Amino acid sequence: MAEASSSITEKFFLTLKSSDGDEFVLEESIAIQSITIKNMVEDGCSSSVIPLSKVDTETLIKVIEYMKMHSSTSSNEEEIENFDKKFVSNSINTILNILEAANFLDINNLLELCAEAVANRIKNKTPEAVRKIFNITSDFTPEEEAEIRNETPWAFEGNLDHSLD
Amino acid sequence: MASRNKKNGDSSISNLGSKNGVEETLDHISQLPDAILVQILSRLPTEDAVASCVLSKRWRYLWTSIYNFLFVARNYKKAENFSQWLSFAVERKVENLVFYSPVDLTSVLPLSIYSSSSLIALELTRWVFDKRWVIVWNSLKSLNLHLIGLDDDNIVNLLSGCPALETLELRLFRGFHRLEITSSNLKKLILAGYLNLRDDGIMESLEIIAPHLQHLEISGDLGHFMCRRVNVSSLVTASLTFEITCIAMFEDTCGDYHQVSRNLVMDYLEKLSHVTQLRIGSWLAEVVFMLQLDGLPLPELRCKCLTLEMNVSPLLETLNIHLGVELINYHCGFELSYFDKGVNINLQNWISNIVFPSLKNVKIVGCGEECSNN
Repeated sequence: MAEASSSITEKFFLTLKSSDGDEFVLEESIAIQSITIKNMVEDGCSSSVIPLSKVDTETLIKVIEYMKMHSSTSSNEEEIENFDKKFVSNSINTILNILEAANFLDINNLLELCAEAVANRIKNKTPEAVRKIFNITSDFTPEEEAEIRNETPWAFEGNLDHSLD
Repeated sequence: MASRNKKNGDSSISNLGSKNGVEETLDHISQLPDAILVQILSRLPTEDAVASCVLSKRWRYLWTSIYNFLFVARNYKKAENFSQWLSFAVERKVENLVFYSPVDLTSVLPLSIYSSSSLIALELTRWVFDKRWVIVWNSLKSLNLHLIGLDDDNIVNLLSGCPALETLELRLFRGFHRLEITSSNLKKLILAGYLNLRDDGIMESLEIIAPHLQHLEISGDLGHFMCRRVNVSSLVTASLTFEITCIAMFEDTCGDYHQVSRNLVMDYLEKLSHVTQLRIGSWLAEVVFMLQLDGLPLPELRCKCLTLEMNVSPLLETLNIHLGVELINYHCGFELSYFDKGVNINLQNWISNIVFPSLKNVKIVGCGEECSNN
């Protein structure tokens, strides 16, 4: 069926199912930005519902939003740029969820966008601030930590930002 | 995998990941696969990436897998480290290298860099070329130089050392008057902004001979620098959004200057008539309009996609609506004389009917509401 000549504008649709059991119908041409989905389509698994056991509903909605914006031919570069800017202003947890989903679905642009957003939250921050932002608990003793810092003292110099913004 | 943080206290919220706005108490990031964390760390200044080693045991050695180095000298006393870092990078066959510095740090570049066969993309800022170097960048495809002074010989040496070069970008350049590109690999040339060290109004010119070039972009403030005698017969796309400073800042009359501009633009239009995609900036568009007002026949353009950047020019808005009124602050009052005659122009019709007779669609972005009044 996908062999149809390019002049025919017939649209194919796929059904994606989130880990919460919600189903989303999406145009195939949009969904195949995900290499994982694309491979499934090529392997002929697209006739039934595609279960995405690692992606919850909230995250899947965001991912679909992203794929729609990035595939539609009507949106221009500026629109996409603004969309991306707004997209990365989601809470850090949402971004981490999307990042994981993008990794699983193999959507490289989205993965890069989210990795950049996470990196921006770490950039120029003290390790203490980074721990707070991401809820990381140190499992080093103070002595161990001092020893590790001593291995690469140059990495801890400079005016680092203590804020959690 | 990392252990979950149990600071959740008496709150029994489970499913935290899907609750937007709920304070997350889970160490979500540490649960991501190594590959993703390395990707994140690779985007950080390298100091920050290395500093992640103290976050927790999970993060102890992740940074050792980063594939990008980004050194930001927060402390200039450490500038001597650059040499070491760069030598190391060259030794390890670095492919993409960007070296930015607000001062000239050419001296810290190790000599081994000039014979690196692994470099594919190189970006240097405030690099000072030394004739003694023999440059052998056999794999280099993209060379990007910011704030660069090169004389004609330097250019020849440089280009002959990069036989595989596909893209050459010079931002804020000066010193050379002839740019001859003989390699058929070099397809894209970007010239952005002339670095004007003396502001005496003397015209300088550049000759571009690049018969194999397919993409040409000239942008930014060129001061009194003019690219003349352009030989670009294979060009497919061209973007000319540069500006040339009006000579009237130095002389009473800018009439001669305008004649020079007109000749230049006529020459461009002729040379670029075969281009399929053309972007014209406001300066060039203004000169085209002046030519049109003079009733001179313009060369026929055969481009299929034309972009006019006009929203940036107050002059063009004036052209359309308030003839002459807003020109007072403009340092080129010369054009005013054209509009004193009370010529009323419908810009859109004018462009589509006269300047580019075969044009079917005209899209003018950001022209302001005055446009629609016409």
